[in-house]
Amino acid sequence: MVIFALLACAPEAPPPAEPVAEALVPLDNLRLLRRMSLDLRGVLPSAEELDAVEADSAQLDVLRDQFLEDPRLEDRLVALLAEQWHTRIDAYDIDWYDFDLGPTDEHRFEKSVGEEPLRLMAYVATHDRPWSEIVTADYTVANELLRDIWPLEYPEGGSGWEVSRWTDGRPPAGVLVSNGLWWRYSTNPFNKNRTRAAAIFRLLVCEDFPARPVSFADATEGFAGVDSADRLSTDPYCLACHAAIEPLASSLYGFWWFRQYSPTEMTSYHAEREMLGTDALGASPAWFGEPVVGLEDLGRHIAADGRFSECATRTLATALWRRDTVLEDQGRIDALEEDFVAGGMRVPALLHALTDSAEYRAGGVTAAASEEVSDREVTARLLSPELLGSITLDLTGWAWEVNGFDQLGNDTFGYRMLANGVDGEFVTRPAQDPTLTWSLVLARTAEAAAYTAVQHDLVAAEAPRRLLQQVTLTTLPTDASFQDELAALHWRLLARRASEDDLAALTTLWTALEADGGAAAAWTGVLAALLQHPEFASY
Amino acid sequence: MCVSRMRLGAAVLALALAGSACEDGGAPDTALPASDADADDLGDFAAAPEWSAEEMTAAAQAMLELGFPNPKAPYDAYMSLLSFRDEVCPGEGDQLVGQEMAQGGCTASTGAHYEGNTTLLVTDESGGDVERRSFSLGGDFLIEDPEGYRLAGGGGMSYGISRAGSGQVDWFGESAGTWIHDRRDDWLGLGISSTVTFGGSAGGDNAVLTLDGSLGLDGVYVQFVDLTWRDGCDAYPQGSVRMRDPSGLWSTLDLADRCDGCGAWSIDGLGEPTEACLDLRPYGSAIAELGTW
Repeated sequence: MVIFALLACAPEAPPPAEPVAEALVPLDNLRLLRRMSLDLRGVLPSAEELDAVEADSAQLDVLRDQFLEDPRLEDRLVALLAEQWHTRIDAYDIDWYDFDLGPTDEHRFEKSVGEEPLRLMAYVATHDRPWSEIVTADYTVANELLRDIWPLEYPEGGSGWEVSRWTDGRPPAGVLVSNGLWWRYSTNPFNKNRTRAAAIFRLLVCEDFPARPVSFADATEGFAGVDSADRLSTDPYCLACHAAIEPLASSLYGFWWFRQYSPTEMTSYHAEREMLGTDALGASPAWFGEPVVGLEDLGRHIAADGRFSECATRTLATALWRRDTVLEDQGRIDALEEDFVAGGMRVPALLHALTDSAEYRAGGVTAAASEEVSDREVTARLLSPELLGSITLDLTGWAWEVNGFDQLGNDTFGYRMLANGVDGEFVTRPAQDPTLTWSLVLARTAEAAAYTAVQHDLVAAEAPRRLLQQVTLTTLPTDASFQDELAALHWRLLARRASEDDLAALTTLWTALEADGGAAAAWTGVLAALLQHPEFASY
Repeated sequence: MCVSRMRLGAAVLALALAGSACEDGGAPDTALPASDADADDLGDFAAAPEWSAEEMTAAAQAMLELGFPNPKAPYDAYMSLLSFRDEVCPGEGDQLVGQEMAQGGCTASTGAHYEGNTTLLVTDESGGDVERRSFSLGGDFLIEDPEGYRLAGGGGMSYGISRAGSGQVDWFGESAGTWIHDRRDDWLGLGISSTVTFGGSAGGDNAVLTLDGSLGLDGVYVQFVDLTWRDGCDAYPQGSVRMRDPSGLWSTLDLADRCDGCGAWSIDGLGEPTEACLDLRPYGSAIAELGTW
């Protein structure tokens, strides 16, 4: 009877999953190389890299391993984690003018603050350190701007993002003591750090309390005349979440403030306030029932929680599969997590495994694939605003910047959300389908980048050339170098050899534009067309 | 200086609260050792106290000797610094108000710089049966005098007193948030982070002083829990004082009903209590003195 009772209480087994690998058609090696290069480096593969994989498919793995050691992986992880951590917002309670910064520093200020916790995680990941260090580290990663406004020890002679240490006595607990995280996830006297606790649950153990289906239908009558604070600690409907939220919120009072907009309050840790939470919330600091002594202890409890490694696996799978993980993924996630933990929670190994997965390598679905799989799997990814920016910068030297604002990285004056990006507050997941605004941003970016490349390579004829390698303004379509240039551009930008039809179409376009505006305009138009080609804009 | 180009209240306070982290002038050690840490041992973590009872109370005593966080000190400094104003900056009245003040502030012709927003409420009621006086200074602001000294505040400082014709005097006060005035060399000069409330009654049958709340000063963090000074206890309070060990553990000194500043001290949840002492009489004197304003 006991066995039967246990079986009856056991979680329902997930439905048998359709073998994903059999339902998906993998990308060809060249497009897969392009996907890996974009996801792990943020730039297109070089012509030489494409040549190498075209000649020998085994080179794909060799190059992927190189990408995993590429310093640009750090920036890519920051961008990918930002999609889920939502810290890169456009305005905090504390603003640039609270410090000795000018208006042109506004975006740099906001970006620096929002990236601080992301940079710490990216550092841990790319330096092959155990992922648990994101909640146990006695350091953060900061740049010169943060050095100047926060209590940090920053290396003498350092530049850019560097390992730095807090000097205000805050406990060693990685992102749990990050100013960037808590400036993003603020709180108020009614909320009492509950938002922050919910953020920790969602980000570190993938327990999204606010997303839980809670029915108040049976409790509505009982709310009349009852203090809601009492309700949180007595009503089973509330306790389902608040029994865990309150003790965690209580542990975060070292970041409590008395003036929400005061840099003097918000910049430093306040150890003397650590105990205020117990009175404010009626709960002692704890992690799911286990008492914790300070944030250092909390970090270790989180790292030792089995959901932490699973959540890391899900987070990176979501980032690379470009979709949420679902119940049907559980077996795959379990296997990936098992290897992740067995390998000491090193992120490069997890990225390696994820880029081997069928979900990552999918370029289409088979005719026999179910509708569910067809709807779920993202077989063609659109360039995110970050990727659009990094690719065009790498190819042409053009960056869309206005008064210090990266126009593809903000929504105050820029186009991040319009380009399917995440602002972290109103849009919290990247759009995966082409939208009108995305195509408009793509078109403007392509035109400006093309113009910049032609001005540099052909009009000013500056060396070294950036993109156009073989032609000048006097080269004609009948010249061999003209057709070679078109073929090379097609190869580099789309990772596909140009067909006769492709070359003919580009030549026709060039000829029409040249007749109207000259050779520079013609090359600008051809390049702009390639830079907004569907095969360029997807990967 | 290991933190360069820091400015405004946050920077000043950050340096003040940073203690001696950079005092040796050397480059900070930010190099990380290679990590072979494993998550397997994370669950075994147990914080261990770094200080003994003697070290803990000595640190707390040294902190107490820096002075009581009397809200009148930042209030007086604030009012004094307003004397550097001109016709335009920081505007009319004794409050710093408006978007312009919040976003960059202004510099008066005297060279004084005003920035941020404040609210100041002052009452002075006399002539009736009861005389009442109070002030409340709150805000998020920075004032730099012509010599470059700065008063910065984020939080609230308040104080009030009432005197009845019967001779009964009652007073109260609060110090909340972070404050610093780097012209001084006491608690306010070092920079304080606190949420402290205090009060007193005198002149009647039941003279009493009270103190509650948390205080962070010079790298030492304490919490006063229901401290009460009553007549007949040699100026020692009853109640308890909690103190934070550098490890992050908190300890409690339970003064109970003793009248000698001593009591049972223990790290929360660890070990057996031991005897420890803390002389809180200077704080009692400071609170009592506030009943004479």
